[in-house]
Formats: sequence, C-alpha cells, structure tokens
Amino acid sequence: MQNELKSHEQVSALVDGQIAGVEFARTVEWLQDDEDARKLWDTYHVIGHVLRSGDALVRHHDDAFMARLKHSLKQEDVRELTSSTVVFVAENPQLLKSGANRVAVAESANESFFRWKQVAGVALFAVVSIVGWQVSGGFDGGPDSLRLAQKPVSQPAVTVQPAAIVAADSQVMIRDPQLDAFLAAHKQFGGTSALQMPAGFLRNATFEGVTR
Amino acid sequence: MIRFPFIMRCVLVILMMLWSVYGSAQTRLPATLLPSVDSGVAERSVSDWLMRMHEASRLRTYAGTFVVLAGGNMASARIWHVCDGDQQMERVESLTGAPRSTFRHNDQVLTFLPANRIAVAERRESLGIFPNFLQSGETSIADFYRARISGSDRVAGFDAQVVQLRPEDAWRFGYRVWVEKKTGLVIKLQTLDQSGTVLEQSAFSELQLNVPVSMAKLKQMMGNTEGYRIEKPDLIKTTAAAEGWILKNAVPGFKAMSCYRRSLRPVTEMHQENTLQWIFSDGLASVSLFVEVFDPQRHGQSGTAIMGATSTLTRQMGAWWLTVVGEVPAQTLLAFAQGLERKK
Repeated sequence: MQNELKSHEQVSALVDGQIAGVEFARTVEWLQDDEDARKLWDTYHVIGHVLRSGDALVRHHDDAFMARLKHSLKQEDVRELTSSTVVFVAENPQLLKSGANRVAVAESANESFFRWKQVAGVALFAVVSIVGWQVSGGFDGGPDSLRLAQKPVSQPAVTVQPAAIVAADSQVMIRDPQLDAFLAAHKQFGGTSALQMPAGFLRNATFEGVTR
Repeated sequence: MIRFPFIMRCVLVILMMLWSVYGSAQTRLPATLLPSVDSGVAERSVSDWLMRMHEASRLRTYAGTFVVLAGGNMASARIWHVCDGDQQMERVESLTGAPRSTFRHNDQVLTFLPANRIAVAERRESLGIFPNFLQSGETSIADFYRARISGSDRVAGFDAQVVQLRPEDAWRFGYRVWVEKKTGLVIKLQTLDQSGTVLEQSAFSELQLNVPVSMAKLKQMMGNTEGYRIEKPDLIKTTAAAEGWILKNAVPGFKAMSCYRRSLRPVTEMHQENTLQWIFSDGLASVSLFVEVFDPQRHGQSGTAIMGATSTLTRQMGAWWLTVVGEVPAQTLLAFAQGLERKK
C-alpha cells in the first residue's frame, strides 16, 4: 500500500516535471513495464490538462481522431519550445515503447505555460484598466445607498418576479422591426413624462436610430 | 516542465484585492455626490423641481452634443434649441446609426430619414400636457416619488445640482437628474432600478447656453421637404371603453392618459392592421398597451425584452395579441398585461 502510494506520487511528480535523476529513470522504466502505471499516467495527464486549461479532453483514445489531430497540428506553426526536448519525450513514455500517438503529444510541455503568460498579461491589463478607470472617476452609476421604503399597501398584488416572467414565456424577444414600430409609437407619447423636456425628447430623438 | 505558475497566483491575488476595493468603492458615491454643505437652496418638492426643469427648457437657447447610453448601446446627436416667446424649436441631428434629422416646432415633429427619403410627421400633443398636468394637481407624482438633493457635480463644463427622484414603491424606476445651477436646465439624466443600478443615462457631453440659434433658419430647414415622401401615422383618438377594454386592476400611480386606434409606422412590406394604443403615465414614466387581433403568422414569440430603461412584454390573450411597452420594471408590464380585460 505504501509502495503503491509512493509509485503514484512518482507518476504525479513526473507529470509535473518535478523529478530527475535516478527517480526519473526508475519511474519511466516502471511506466514502460506496467499497464496500470500507464493508465495512471494518462489519468494524471487528463487531470492536469483540465485544471490548467479548463478544456474538456477526449477521454477515449480514438485513433482516427488522434491521427487527424496530429496531422492538423503538424500544419500549425511550431511554437518555440523553451523547455528541453528531453522533457517533451519524457511526457510520452509510450513513444519509447510502441510509437503510438496520444493527445498529449500534440501539446508541447510549455504550451500551458505560454497560455498562462497570455492570461497573466490580459489580467494585468484588466487591472491597469480598472485602476485607471477608478482614478478618472468613472463611477457614475454607483448603487444608491438609500433603500426604498415600501408601504405594505403598495406591494405588488402580483408577486411574480421578472425572472419568472421570462420563465413563464420561455423566451426573451429578439429585437425586430415590428417591436421597433411599437417602441417608436410608445415614444411618440413620451410627453406624458415631466422629464420629457428636454432630456426625454432628446433622448428619444437621439437613440431611436440605433435600433434601425 | 510545467508548474502551476507562480505569476498566475500573484495576478489572482492582486485581482482579488482590487475586486474587494472596487466592490466596496461601488457602494460609495463619488465625493462630488456627497450632500453639499452649501445648500443655501432649501429643499424643494418634486413638483417645484420638475417645474423649474421644464421652464428652463422653454426659456433658453442652447446648442450642444447629447449622448445616450442605453442597454449597452450608445448614441449621440447634435442639438439646437431656440425659444422665442411661445414658439419653441429644436433640431436633432443624429451622429450615430442611420442619418436622421428631427425637427420640432412646439408639438409638431418632423423626422427626416434620408436613407429612404421619408419624412415622418407627428403631432405630439402630449408635449402640451405638461406643465398644465402638473399644475392641475391631477398628477400623483408627489405621492409616488420623493425629491432630494444628493449633491453637486459638473457636467459638460457646467455646475449642476444632483436631484434624486426616489420612487416610493417597486412599480417604477428612480431617477437622478443633474440640474444646471443657474438655469435649471436638465443636463444629465439617469434612470435607476431598485438597487440603484443605472439602467440608462443621457447627458450633454458639450453644451453652449445662450448661443445665437436662428429660429427662422430652423423653420426653413423643417419646411424643406422636397424630395421626401411625407408619412403621417394614422391616429384616431378613441377611448378604451369604446373599444371594449378595461383595466380591472390598476397599477398604483398610473393613470390612463389617452387611447388611439392607429396603424403603426410601416417598416416592412407587410400590411399593418389597426392597433389599439392605450397610454398610461405616473407623471415620470409611461406605459403603452398595444392590442391587436392575434395573427398566428405574425405573432408567436411571447416574451420580455429589456433595452436600457425600456422594457417590452408580448403575449397572447385569447384572440388578441398584447404588446406592453414602458420605462418601468418588467413586473409592472406584467401587471398591466394581466389587468387588461375585455368588457363583457
């Protein structure tokens, strides 16, 4: 049991690229000889891939799919590998044995890392944007700290919430010319609002064309 | 070799810290909106504020650029306004979307659509309702909204007082109005939902007061319809009762304003049947109930659509097709739809 646990740890460490030397060689050799070990290797690879990328991964080995994938990946530009090719080969012990191709082959060792760099870059950009927006005083629509005092008599007799409206009618309307006609007809009588002049009228006259 | 990147952990931590700062900042109003100390101006009632805003628009000459942000869309237009005694004229030149020029001379509105050489002529008689409506005491605005100065701010280079129009119940939205201090002109307007989220806002991004706008010139432009086909939406004034409809459960605050039998502005090749439009208002927000005969070929998709502060609800009611439109929460539209009944 203890040995089994240690072996699992070694395979996990190999997937993460965290063992070297004698341990590395011993684990690779074990993977070559043991069917269960290779299954374990595959499982850890799937887990790692899903955690890093969030993508669904093909679980069952569809050879035709693998072959097509390998072919299409070959068509793509080769990304610059920053890790050594020794690690690349080591991720695919089955190559050593049978030369069979697997999904993992298609992805270079550092491709996830490269993707993380991109994500990190985007995240930093978002951070700078948020900070810049804060500084420039972009908070025009902060929630009002006052809350409504609702009189009991004013409580809606119909207690349906907006979410239920959508559920009951099952669909949200997609804008269409027919609806635009109703909107235009409604705006024609916007004068019933005390806010119509000038803001309401200008708003209707300005915005109407956006929907056309 | 692949490691869970340390740099990613750092970025996530920074993001979480900033998110907590950002989240708490959202609940704080910007400093400029904190109650001003210099309120030598006494608190006015809702009616007083609205009258002042309305009068300002009648007494001033101005020009500027107006921007509207609604439902993720942005639109802007150049506007000119001139007032000469009882005569008011406005010109709105759209800067976004299809080119469009709107002219208003008191309650006559003419919209030029150069793309299809059509000019739509409307008489917006409802524009004459205010301020008589307010002065008559028939309105219940004061019963359903409270006015409060919530601070000072600067818009388009002008100092403004920020007036909060808070709804007393959940049937309607709230408003935040930026009122230019010297003239009372509304230079920015926001529509807010119950949680204070801005659903829609419109404002002058640029404004010049008391500019020499020529009324004669605007009249001439409005009268120049050569090359345009003039369309006038057919409107027959009627009453809901005469048409056989009643609203059995009135929505608090909303009064029936008018009712028309009309054909909608044609936008497709399809023949437009006669539609009933029943208009309600609580003084700040309005709701239109459109009733048509149900046509399975044209009608079928019932549902709700929300565009900024305006929502629509469509549904079948027996042999009829109902479309409810208003600057109100969706539950209010539903209440109207459910309250409509055929007279027996």
